[in-house]
Amino acid sequence: MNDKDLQQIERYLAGELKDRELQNFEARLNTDQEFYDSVLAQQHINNALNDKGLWSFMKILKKVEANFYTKKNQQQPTYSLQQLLQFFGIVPDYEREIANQFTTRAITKSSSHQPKLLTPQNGIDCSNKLTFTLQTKAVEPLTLVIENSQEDEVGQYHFSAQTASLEVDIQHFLPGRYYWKLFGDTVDTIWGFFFIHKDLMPEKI
Amino acid sequence: MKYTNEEVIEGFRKENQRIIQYCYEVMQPMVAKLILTNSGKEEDVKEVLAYCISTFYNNCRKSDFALTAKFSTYICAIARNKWLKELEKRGKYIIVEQLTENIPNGIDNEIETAEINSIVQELFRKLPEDCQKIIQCKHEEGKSHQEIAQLLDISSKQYARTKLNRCKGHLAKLILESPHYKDLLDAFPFLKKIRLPKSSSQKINK
Repeated sequence: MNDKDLQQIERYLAGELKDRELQNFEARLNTDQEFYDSVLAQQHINNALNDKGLWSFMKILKKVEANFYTKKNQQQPTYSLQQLLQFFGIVPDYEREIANQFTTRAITKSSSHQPKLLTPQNGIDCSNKLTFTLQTKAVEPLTLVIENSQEDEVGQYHFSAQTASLEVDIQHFLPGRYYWKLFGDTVDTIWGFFFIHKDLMPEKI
Repeated sequence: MKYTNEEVIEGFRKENQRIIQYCYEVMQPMVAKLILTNSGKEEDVKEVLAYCISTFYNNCRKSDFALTAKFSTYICAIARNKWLKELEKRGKYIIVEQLTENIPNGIDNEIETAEINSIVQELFRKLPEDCQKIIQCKHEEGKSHQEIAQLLDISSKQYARTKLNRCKGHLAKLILESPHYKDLLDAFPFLKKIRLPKSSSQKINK
C-alpha cells in the first residue's frame, strides 16, 4: 500500500469519501481482493485502537504483569555460575562416609540400637520439607545435623526418643547440595545427602 | 479458587486491578506449564498470557457473556488454541496434551469472536517504539495531527498523518500475515464484512 492508498482507506473508514472518489473506491473494493483485505484489516485495527476501554485495560494488564514478574524475580534470585559451582560442590570426606556405610558398615557402637532410616532417599531433590522416617521408634534422642557443601552447619534438629519421624522445613535453604548426619550417644552416625533445586546444578559437577 | 466466576467477570468489567492480578497469578503457572513443556520460552508465556487475559476481558464486556466452565478452564482453552496456532506458524507440530482434558466442547466458539481486538493489541506491541507512540497519541490520547507533530517533533501535521497511516499500514501487514487472524475470518464469515460508513452507497461483503 502506498501513502495515497493508506490515506484513502482512512478517509473511507471515517466516512469522508464522497461522490466519484467513493464510487471508485468501492469499485476497487469489489474487484481487488488484496485491497479489500487491507481495508478490512484496517477496519479491525481501528475498531480495536478506538476502544478506550481496551487501552485502559492494557495499561492495567501491563502493571499487573510487571508486579507479577517483580515479585517472581524477588522470590527467585539469580546466581552466578561460580556460586552454583560452590553450592553444588562435593565434599569428598562426606561422600566417602556415605559410600562406606553401604559397604563395610563398620559399626562401632551398640548395633542393637542402630536405627534404620526409611526416608529420605539419598540424592533426593526437594524444595519445601524433608521428612526423616525411622523404621522403628528411636530408642534414645537423636541429633540431625545438616551441612551445606562448604561444610557450614545450616540446621540442627532433634529426634526425641520414642518417635519415628521428623519433618524439617528447608524452604529457606539456598539451592545446592546438602549433607546430613544423624547420630546419638549409642548409635553410629548415619550419613546422607539431598539437593535443593537440582535443576540449577551446573553440568560440569 | 478465591473468587467465583461471577466475581471475576464483574471484576474484569470494572477493571478491578486486584481481580485481574489474582487471575494473572492463578493462570501464569498453568500457561507457563503448557508453553514451557511444549517448545516455548518464558517470553512466549508472557505474550500468550497477555493475549488470553485481554481476550477474556473483551468477552467479559459483552452483556450476555456467561461462563460455562471455571474461568481458569476458559482461559486455558484460549491459551491452548493460541499456542497451537503459534506452533503451527513456527512449523512445529506438537500435540499439546496438557490442560486439554477438562475443556468442555463448544467453549472454543465462545472464545474466538472476541479475539480480533486481542490480536491487534498483541501485534501492536510488536511494532517499533516510534510507531507505538504515534498510534497511542492518536487513538489512546485522542491527540490531533498537529499536536502529534509538536509532541513527537515531526516536521508538519501532514507528515504526522502520513507517518501514522504508515504505522497502521505496518500493523495491517502484520495482521494480514497472522494465520490466527486468517483462521478467525474463515471460522466467522461475519467478520469479513466491512462495516460501511453511513454515507456509502452500497454494501460491501465478500
